[in-house]
Amino acid sequence: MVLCMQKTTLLAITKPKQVTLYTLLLWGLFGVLLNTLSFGTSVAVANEKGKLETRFSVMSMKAAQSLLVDAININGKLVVIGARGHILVSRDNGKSWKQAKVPTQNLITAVYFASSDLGWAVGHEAVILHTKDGGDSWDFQYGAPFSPGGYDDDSDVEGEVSDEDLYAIDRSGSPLLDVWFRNEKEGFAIGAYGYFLHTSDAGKTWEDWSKRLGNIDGWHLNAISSIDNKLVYVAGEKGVLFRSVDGGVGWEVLNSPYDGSFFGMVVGPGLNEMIVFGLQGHIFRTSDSGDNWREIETENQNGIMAGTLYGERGVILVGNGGVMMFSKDDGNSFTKQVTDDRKSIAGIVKTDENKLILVGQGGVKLATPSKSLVGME
Amino acid sequence: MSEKASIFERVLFSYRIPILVVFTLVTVFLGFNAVHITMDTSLKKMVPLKHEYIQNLFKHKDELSLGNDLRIAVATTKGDIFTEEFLQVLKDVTDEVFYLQGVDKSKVKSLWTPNVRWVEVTEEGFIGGEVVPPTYDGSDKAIETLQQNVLKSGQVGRLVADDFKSAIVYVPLLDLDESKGEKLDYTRLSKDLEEKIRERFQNDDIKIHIIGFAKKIGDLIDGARGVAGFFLITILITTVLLLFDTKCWKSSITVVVGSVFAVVWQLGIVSLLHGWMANIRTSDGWPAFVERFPSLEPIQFGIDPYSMLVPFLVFAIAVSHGVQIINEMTVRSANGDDSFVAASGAFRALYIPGILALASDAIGFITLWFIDIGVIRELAITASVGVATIILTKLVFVPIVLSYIGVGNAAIASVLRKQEKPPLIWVKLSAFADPKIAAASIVIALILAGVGINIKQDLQVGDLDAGAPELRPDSQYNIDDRFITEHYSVSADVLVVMVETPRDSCTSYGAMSSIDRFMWHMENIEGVQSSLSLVSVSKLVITGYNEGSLKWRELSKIQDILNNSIGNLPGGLMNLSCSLAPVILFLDDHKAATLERAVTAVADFAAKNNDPDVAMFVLASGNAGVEAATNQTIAKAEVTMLTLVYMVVCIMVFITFRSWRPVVCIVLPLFLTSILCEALMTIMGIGVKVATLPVIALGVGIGVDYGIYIYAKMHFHIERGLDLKDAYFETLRVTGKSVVFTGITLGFGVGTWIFSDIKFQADMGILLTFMFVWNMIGAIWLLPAIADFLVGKKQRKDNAI
Repeated sequence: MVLCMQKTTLLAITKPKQVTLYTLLLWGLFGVLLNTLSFGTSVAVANEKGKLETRFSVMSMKAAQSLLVDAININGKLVVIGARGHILVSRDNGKSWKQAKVPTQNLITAVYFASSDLGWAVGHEAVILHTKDGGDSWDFQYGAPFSPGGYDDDSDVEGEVSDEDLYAIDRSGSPLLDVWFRNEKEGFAIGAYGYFLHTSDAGKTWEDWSKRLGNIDGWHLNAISSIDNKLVYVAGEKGVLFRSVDGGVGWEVLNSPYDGSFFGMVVGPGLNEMIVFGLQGHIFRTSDSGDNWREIETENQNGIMAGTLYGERGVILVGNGGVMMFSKDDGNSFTKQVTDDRKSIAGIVKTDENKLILVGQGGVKLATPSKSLVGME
Repeated sequence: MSEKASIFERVLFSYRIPILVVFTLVTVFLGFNAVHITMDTSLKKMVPLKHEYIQNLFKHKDELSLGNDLRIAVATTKGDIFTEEFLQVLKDVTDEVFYLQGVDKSKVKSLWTPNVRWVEVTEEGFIGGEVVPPTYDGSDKAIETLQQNVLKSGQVGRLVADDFKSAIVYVPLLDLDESKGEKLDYTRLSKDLEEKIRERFQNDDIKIHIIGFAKKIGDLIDGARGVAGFFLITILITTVLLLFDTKCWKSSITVVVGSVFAVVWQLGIVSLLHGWMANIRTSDGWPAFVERFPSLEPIQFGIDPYSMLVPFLVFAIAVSHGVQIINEMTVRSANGDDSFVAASGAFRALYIPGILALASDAIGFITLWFIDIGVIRELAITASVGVATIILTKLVFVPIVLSYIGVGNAAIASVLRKQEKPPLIWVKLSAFADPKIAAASIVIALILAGVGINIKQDLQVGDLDAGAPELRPDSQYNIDDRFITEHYSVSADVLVVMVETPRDSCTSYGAMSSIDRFMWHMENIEGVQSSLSLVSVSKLVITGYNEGSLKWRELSKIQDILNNSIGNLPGGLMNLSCSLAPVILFLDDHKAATLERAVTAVADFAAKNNDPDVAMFVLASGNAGVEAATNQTIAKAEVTMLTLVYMVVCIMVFITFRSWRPVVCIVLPLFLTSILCEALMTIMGIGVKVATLPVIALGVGIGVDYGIYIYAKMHFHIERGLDLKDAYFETLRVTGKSVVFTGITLGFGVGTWIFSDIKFQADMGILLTFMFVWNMIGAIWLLPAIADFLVGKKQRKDNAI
């Protein structure tokens, strides 16, 4: 295991004002180690999954009705994830759900499958969970639990901070917020305070690639998405947008049309088309891979959290307060509808029967969109 | 006949005038006191104070504002609440509420109060404002803004109904300190709510629904007042029955007056005790007193909806004993005795069985003392006091008065007529002592017992109806309660688990994550709908800090973030020193099984997770917590109490007759009644609860009277040499008649309660009526059948030799 630098720089987190002699000593030690172990643009990060508390999620009849925040359809099989380590799998297009065995009770925030069997889920305390059996059982691959001594207020020494140090901030205890894999080996896990982890060995080891991304201010990264596994986007807090044209090796910062948070993206249907959305219901659309943006005006002011393509030209976005936005023209205009229960929706995915799986405050729901709303009359 | 005058008789009938004078003076004195009796209800009286849950509750009572509040729902019958007219009514109701007595004005909440705000996350951070925009002018545009604000305020399900057809004015009441003599006038508040809110604003378009502890108590007191009116009806019915039975208005009036005197004495004595207890309570010696007599702590001796039963019982028992005296006297007068001789003769014949019967009543009631709930203990004392007063009024007052006025000629003529030609009914009924019919009766009794035992397997403990179980399901209060629970995200059944942590540590990550796991553990228990605690608020606020993203709805391990997240905690979710955080569990209902399942689940979790350095999960508060404790106490006490009642009854009967045979003859029919009573409760959906458990003891205690009277008389005739059937026939002619009459009188006496507005009083009425009537049937039908086996067979064998 490789030790890592723990240091706060630009984060606006309240920090305890205590610095013990012991931490100062460790500091020095870390400094030496850092210099010897960090090289290139990637920083190997401390994988402290051993320190994670193994507390299996409770098998519950109510799991499918409790808070769920992300959903995926992988070759017809549906997987939804959420609070208290709940991961549920459906093999009948969402009619019934089976709860998976998960070694944590943390809120799980995102899930991705590279094949029918191989999947990853990420969550709070930066846990990365991995399944090899299609989602029925999960093991820890990574974690960074909060360490009370980790915060340090002694970071005023700007002059001594190296370039790497700027990215090597203490994110312990913070959540990962999204995960995406190019193939069965190579993938990314992103999250709070600029978490940007990369693996090229199916998650056996993870490296900190935040410097490659160039998120110098450490904004939360909320979503990572790609339609062809080459053109990859990352969106986050304060309107930050990043693009890679080579499957995630090199990254560039895009000019953002917005300074509020982006929560998610829908890439497609065309190769260069993409919609990004977020706080206050803002939606922006590009048809040239993010060089130029156009804001899509809608009457909605609720935050939009997730979306999916539907049919040939349909797009459906969902968000807080039960808002659902329907487009039948590739996302150039939207019609707003609100669910009866007004519960916030955090994730949406299309089943193989062309129904919708909605996940959020009320758990998982199966819905059928009105055909006129998505241009399939 | 060898009847010797006892010392009592000699004293009584030698000093008739002085005794009457003293009696009258005492009655006037006690009557004066009885007028001052007050309706008194307090929480402490209604709960098992020694139960662990209740002790925990009182330990933390001052730290947890358990919310004595009212919710007034203003509902529209057309359209939704977003109209100018409706909003104006809502504003008027809100304004009116401020002027009600006892309202904590600063905490009143409605869409119109400035403390109800909407909040929104924007690029700049949080923005917010009052729900009713400051520029509100009733225009469509203003109402549309208001509608937007309502959605953003998160009040849907709280202050605004899920269907947008009603809105709530939330009215917290001031926290008054009863020990300092501050007291909320529930009657007045309830009346104000009806007159100033409901009557004023309710019309075809607007409906008003009011719920809350204070309103419930107000309605209960109202209902109880109504029952007082039943007393007159009971007196009236009894007098008519009495006249019909005795055909003599003189003696009937004497008995009714004597019985009313017994009630006056009982109320007067209770009122004196009340004053006495109140004096001790406010004196400096109170703590020492409580230490010496801890069980007297909740006792107040006021009259409450439970102990109101006692005057009815006292009156009915007094009348039934009076009837015995009249009958005995009439028979003696018919035989040619003058009033004085007949009265003293009746006294002589009846004072021993009379005193024994009353003593067994009283001792039966006293066994109620073993149920550790204040109201039941008060009932035990007041009912025993009542029975003691009957001994004095019935066995002293009535015979003396009758020795002057005698019984009427019509009554004597009727007796003479019946002596010549006994009514056919007694001839027929005496067949119950016939060996063949006796055998059949016993088989039928065994079948009834078998069926009864089978049915009562499903007997439940606790309250089984939804809403406020004290009131009828179709009462205004329960209609309101149903409306509000259906349209808002609130449940009336709340179990509160108190989480104790070290000082200043209720927001530590350890405590909060433990509470978080506890909440999920409980939400998975059948019957638990949802839960609420500072953890719910913390997660909500952290989500808010993170721009409403559900991916952040998790406790933070960073202590500063946790502390910040509960900076604006709504009241009641933690105490001032941050050493106590309640978890509020909303339950489906308050059925005993639901409560037991919930408290067992809490105890399971506590056993595995309690850690004095982090968090201790302690039961219980909330109405469901109190009810769970009450149910447990009652379930435990039921067996003890029944055993005791029957033991007492058996011993009393044994002392009376010095033989085990009458014990079996008298007690077995009672036992059948108890079984059938529980079967009836099961069928009618009445649970074993504070109100119904005493009824079982009262039923047995009073039921034994019939048996004692009948067996005594039958025994007397057997001693004279009659065979069982003839002896029973002779018994029926005089005593049997009174027993039938008594059963019917007692039945009517408490039967009026069936019409009470208060559900548990109605339950008590149903069960007592059943027990009184069925005990009578048992004594007339089953007692001779058992006697045939135990006494008749022996008699026949002896005769054969």
